[in-house]
Amino acid sequence: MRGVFAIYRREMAGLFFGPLAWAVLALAFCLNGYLFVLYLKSQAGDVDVAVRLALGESWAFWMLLILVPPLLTMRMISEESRSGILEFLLTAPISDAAVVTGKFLAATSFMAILWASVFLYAAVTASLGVSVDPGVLIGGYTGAVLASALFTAVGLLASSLTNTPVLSAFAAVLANLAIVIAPLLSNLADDPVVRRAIRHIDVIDHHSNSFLLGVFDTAYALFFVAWTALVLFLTVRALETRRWA
Amino acid sequence: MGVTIQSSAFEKRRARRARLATLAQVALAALLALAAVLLITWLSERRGFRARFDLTRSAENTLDPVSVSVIEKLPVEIAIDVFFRGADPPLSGEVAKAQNRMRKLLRRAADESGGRIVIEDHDLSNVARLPARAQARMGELKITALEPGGMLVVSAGTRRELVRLRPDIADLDPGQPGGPGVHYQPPRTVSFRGEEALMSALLKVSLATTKKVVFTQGHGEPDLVSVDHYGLSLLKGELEGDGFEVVTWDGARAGPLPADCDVLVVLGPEQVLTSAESADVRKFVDAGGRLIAAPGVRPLAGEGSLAALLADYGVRLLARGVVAYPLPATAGGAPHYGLEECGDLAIGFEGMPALNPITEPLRRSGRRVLMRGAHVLERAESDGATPVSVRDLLRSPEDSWHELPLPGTEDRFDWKPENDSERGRFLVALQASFSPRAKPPERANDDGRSRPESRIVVIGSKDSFQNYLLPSNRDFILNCFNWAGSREYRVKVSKTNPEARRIDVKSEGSLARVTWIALFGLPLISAVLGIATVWRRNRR
Repeated sequence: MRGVFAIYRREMAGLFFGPLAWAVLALAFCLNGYLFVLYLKSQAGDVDVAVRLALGESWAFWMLLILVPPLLTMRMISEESRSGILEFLLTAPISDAAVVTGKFLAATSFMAILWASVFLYAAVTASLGVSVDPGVLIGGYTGAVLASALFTAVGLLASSLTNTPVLSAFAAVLANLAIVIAPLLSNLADDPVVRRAIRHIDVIDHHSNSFLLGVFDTAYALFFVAWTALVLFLTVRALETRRWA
Repeated sequence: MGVTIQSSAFEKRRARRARLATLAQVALAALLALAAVLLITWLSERRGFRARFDLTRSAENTLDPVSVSVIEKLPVEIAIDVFFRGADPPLSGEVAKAQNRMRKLLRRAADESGGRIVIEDHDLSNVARLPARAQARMGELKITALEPGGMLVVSAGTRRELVRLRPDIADLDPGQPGGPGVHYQPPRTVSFRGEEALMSALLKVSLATTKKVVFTQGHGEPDLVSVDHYGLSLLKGELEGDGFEVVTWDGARAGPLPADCDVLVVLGPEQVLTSAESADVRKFVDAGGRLIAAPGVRPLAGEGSLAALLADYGVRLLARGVVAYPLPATAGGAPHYGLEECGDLAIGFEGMPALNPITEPLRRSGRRVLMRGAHVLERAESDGATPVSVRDLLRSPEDSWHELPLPGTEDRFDWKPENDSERGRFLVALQASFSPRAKPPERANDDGRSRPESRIVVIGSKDSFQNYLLPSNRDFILNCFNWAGSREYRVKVSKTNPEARRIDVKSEGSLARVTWIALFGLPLISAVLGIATVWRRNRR
């Protein structure tokens, strides 16, 4: 656990002591803010719907989720592998799992900070006398962080598979895109069993039918946790293969 | 030399084998992990392993406990085919909203069912070229046409029930287009009854029995199929929509009361029942039957009258006069007397008992019951040997009085209380129950939910059931029928639309504050912090 925390602290420092994270944050906040105002206008001022749109009911949210985590994770393993830092890490007295978990938690924390901007928007609307439903806000935020965790894990896996950060980001974007789009293609399948099976792994569906409604459902939460854990497990295995490759 | 080459090749083969073995181990571990994830996600969706917390302020994502109970008790697997399609303006937006709400509701029901409700949503975006699967299902379910908005088909085996978006699920008002001298009214959702419609359909396809409601006819009762103001066509439709079978009974023509009657309704008779009919009704009620009754405009007294029948069961119907109350004042003025509207009662939560299965849901949701020309009811000593438990259902508003007809007239009133008139809350609806006085008949279609108890509901005004008041009284009336029919699990109130919280986007000040903070404030802080961090790092 101490190893996880050490890696986490190191990664957070790496993120926030460099310009990239701040630039990504500023851009993402700007885009989020612009979209939130746009949602408010298009929904005749309905703050609950605007928050839902900001936290997952719009395509803009999913595009951010497809693009931002790979940008964060692309350097985490592949860059360190190229520069040789990873070897130090892997020979240090901490497990591979701790390395992966620490990096994963740092990237997920960054995403959590990114989505936390909605709390500020909610505070502003509350100061105008219209408070967002706390269930929608907390539920939507929880779902957004859980979904971000999954996409971040995919980014880490991609990063662990190559020594080229840009290639890792590209692979992660493709994988994230597949995760989002593949279930939408289920409509093309005529077989109801296939459609039902695909729906069981539909990330958007799991987010929008529970968290975004203001509901915390253990089944839906476990869906994200379990799949994220699987991808992290694969990342650890991929890292291990570097020892005997 | 030869030995060295041989040894090197052997080492290479061994290394390759070792790598393959490790790769196989990793692949196997990955497969096992995948299987574990699938198992965990599958298990997490099972009942007993799952917990759900609705965090919203109004618990708008929580199914009614009654609905949960219905879903839990589903004896068979239910298939729900969703055939939603768009509608033309001006209702297109409202139809889409209602469809969206219904889809979410279906998802909640499916989640609650632990796999016993299977939903298939068909893509009807191009009605001219329906997908093969949708066409096949429509053929199997015998659907020949799809109305704008579409429908759901709830099916279990060969039993199926159509639930149309309009009017079963949502009541939509197209509004009014603006124009010269015409005020624009946007389209709106008047009410959304998705949960109720769904539960009703689930019950219909899953329960083997349907309760039969029998309306007496031939004594001046309102017509059950008449669509005019004073008809009962809406009530008939609502009852059938709620899973009851509705028939009429004219004792003088059709002979004895049908043996499979579950609830007998005597609504506003203006003539007395024949002695044979009276005997039939008493026999039915005494043997655990259920009765819903309301007096006519001028309640009769004597043999065969409703008053005489009810007196046997501890209910006294005051035959003359109606309950009136002062019309509420506007803008702080004095209340109005002398107007016919004094005879229109609007009974809110103050006039309803708490914790009563019929009225509690109405109290909770702030609903009112409307009555016109209601007669006063009182408790009386029952004639039978069995004690009758009589309970209040509705009491008129505070300060009501009992308005008596003007001298020499039958039904003309001046709507002004006499100086010595008793003022207060009068009983205008009640319920009574007692242990059957005779052995209940064996019923082949008894679903086991019935209790051996006779039940009576008396409403002081038949108008509450009629077309012109039913839309306002729908929940109350259906609750009465469901209680009388031992379907307490159906007693509920349809949900109103969730409240929308809006900021005034037309106000420059409000939107400017949100825009400034969201669009500039937060990004600016991030940018400044970023620049400061980089600057500090470079200085070191």
